Amino acid sequence: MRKEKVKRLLSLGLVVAMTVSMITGCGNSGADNSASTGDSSASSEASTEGEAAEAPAASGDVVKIGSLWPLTGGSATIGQQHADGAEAAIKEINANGGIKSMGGAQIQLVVADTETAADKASVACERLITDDKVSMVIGAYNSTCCISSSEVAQKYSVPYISQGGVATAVTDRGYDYVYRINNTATYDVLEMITALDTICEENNLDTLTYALVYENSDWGADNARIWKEAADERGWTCVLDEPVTNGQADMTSQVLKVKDSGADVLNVSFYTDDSIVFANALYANQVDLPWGVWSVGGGWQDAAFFEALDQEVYNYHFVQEDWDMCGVQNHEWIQEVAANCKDTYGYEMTSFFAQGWTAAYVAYYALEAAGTTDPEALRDAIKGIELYNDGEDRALLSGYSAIVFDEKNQNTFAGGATGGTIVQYQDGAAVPLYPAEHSVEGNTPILPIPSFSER
Amino acid sequence: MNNILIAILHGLILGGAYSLIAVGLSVIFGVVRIINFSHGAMLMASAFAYYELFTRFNVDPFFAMFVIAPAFFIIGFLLQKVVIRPLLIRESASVLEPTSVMLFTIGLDYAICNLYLMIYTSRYKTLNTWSYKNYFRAFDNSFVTQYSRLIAFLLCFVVAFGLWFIINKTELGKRIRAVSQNRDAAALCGVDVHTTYGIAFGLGTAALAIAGAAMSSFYLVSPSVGNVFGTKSFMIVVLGGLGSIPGAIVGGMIFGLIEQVAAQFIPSTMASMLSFAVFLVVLILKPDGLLGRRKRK
Repeated sequence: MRKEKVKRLLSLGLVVAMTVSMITGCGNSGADNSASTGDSSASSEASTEGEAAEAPAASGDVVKIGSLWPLTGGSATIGQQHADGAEAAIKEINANGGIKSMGGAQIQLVVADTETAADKASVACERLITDDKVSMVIGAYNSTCCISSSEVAQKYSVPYISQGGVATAVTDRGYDYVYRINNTATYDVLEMITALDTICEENNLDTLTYALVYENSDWGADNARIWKEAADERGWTCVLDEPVTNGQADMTSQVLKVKDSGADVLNVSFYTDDSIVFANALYANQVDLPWGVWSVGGGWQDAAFFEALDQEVYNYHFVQEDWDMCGVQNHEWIQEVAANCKDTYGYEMTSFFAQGWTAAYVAYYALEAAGTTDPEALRDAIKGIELYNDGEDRALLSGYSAIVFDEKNQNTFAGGATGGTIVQYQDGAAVPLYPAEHSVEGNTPILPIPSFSER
Repeated sequence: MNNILIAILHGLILGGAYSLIAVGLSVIFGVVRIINFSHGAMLMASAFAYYELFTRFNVDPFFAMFVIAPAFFIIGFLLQKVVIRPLLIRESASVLEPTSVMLFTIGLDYAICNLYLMIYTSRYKTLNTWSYKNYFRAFDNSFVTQYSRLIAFLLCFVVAFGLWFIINKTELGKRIRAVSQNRDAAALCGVDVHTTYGIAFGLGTAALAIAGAAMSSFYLVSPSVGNVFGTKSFMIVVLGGLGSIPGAIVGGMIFGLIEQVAAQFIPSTMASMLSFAVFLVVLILKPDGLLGRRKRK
């Protein structure tokens, strides 16, 4: 009997431990942040009031903002960096006196996880709005998640600031509560195409053959479509168009196709996990691409990608970075934020961190301008935001030249020559190259890329 | 060398890794009749154990598995004895395949994943071991694969043979087979059913830990890594025949071959779909799986 009791107690203990781990799980490295993978969303102590979790949207001193990112699944490391950036920004805002137009109200981030899945993103967004009573939602990195979760925000008439998702559908649906501050896929891809135009001109290339390998999602498919349209205009030839289901254990079959295609250029769109597997397979099979591997970002922008691979694997790759790589280092306050990022979160500041930061700041500016959490007033306040990058506005850590929304609620100053930078990895370091104004003197591309037999 | 032949070789190598991961699941089901939904989470847990040993003590996973696999045997044994046994006893009178245990393993999967997420965060980690960074090359560099994948392929046969030998050629195996055929009759003959279940569960978990050594050496380590292989393992085991060790090998090889070879002719997304289509067709034509034993009515 005694033995049975002990076993029952042990079983009970295990169940309690499981429950506790499920409730407190899904956290991050920071001690003060947590998120949900499944059933619950948890409050982040970005505000100083831990007990404010039960408070309504703007009761007294606390205003809640939903911070919705992929914290598990294929984009987890990228999502975590966005969440970290948002958290760091809100900490700074609260430390500087909170929302002044609301009597110094503190902002509390309520962090939730999309699990890198569209259906989970919409459920998590609905929970943020109906259970946590957030006044606004920022998120959700993946295009599919931005689309599905903003659909919910629109339904409940809660302002939604989309950050990360580049698919055109995010702002093309005519929704008045959905705003996007980052660029669209069109800008990302055209930055690469424009750089290739320059390369063709400098090297007297009449035409190019290209291969497209991409994640079969809104994001990947949009990138491929835009690339194709632009390439068609230039008379380039598509020799491979390969959509891939995400979460692959091996990418050799796709790499063999690229090798077989004999393409001059390869354009890839993958998130971190697939990027690592694909880059490894590309290197292992010694696929020569004389005019480069061109990544639209995604995994190639994630610090985890570079930690996971030897530099020989990604050397010579071109990556479209979402910000002005050189400008980032020019301001003292940005260096301080970067140092703080390294100290608090343990990694060098990335564009993902900066974009999470910017999204949180835009939400704060809207609250400050509206002076209330009334959804309509907040929506109008976001619409009225006009930020121009003078190098000192802390909201523009992301390096955008401005944040001004057009009639579709799309920020039109986040892309093109004013936005991102094309870098090439040389000896393991990112060398900014295009556009010229984002490069520095002496930076030159290594082209054509030496074949594996010559390296 | 012809691309199709290269793809076949890659398919077999990948299939070997899939089989290695699935074979433990098959043993657990074959004996205890439990579908262990925490299979992916346990694989992930073993991968993190190798990660710790590699980053702290620089022990290669293929050496560390001689410690981790026995440790996981004990974990599996205790899990069965302490937690699953009471659930089994409670339901044994009414059903052969207890649903509460199945639900328990689903909960366990969530709990383990969240616990590891809490400890290690979602950041991807790789074990830059010798077998991860170096490549086996053959046929004038036409066929290239990481040594870790090659080792995984070989290990799949070693582990499968080991399990087959234990189950078919030893006294312990005789007890395991007796219990898997009819636990009540085995109990009447003096076999300690639940200790045998514990051993079978432990063997399955230890086999999984060996798979973890291979997986952590060729893939990524993160709390969500079980999702990549977990669902596929179930499909492989069902395709090959629940409880059949050779079935797990055949199922894994079929999946690997479809993914690698079919993708040479059709887009990768369609090749993934084809795996599911083959799975459905086999289940319709042969509900017990390719090498599964037909259940007696």
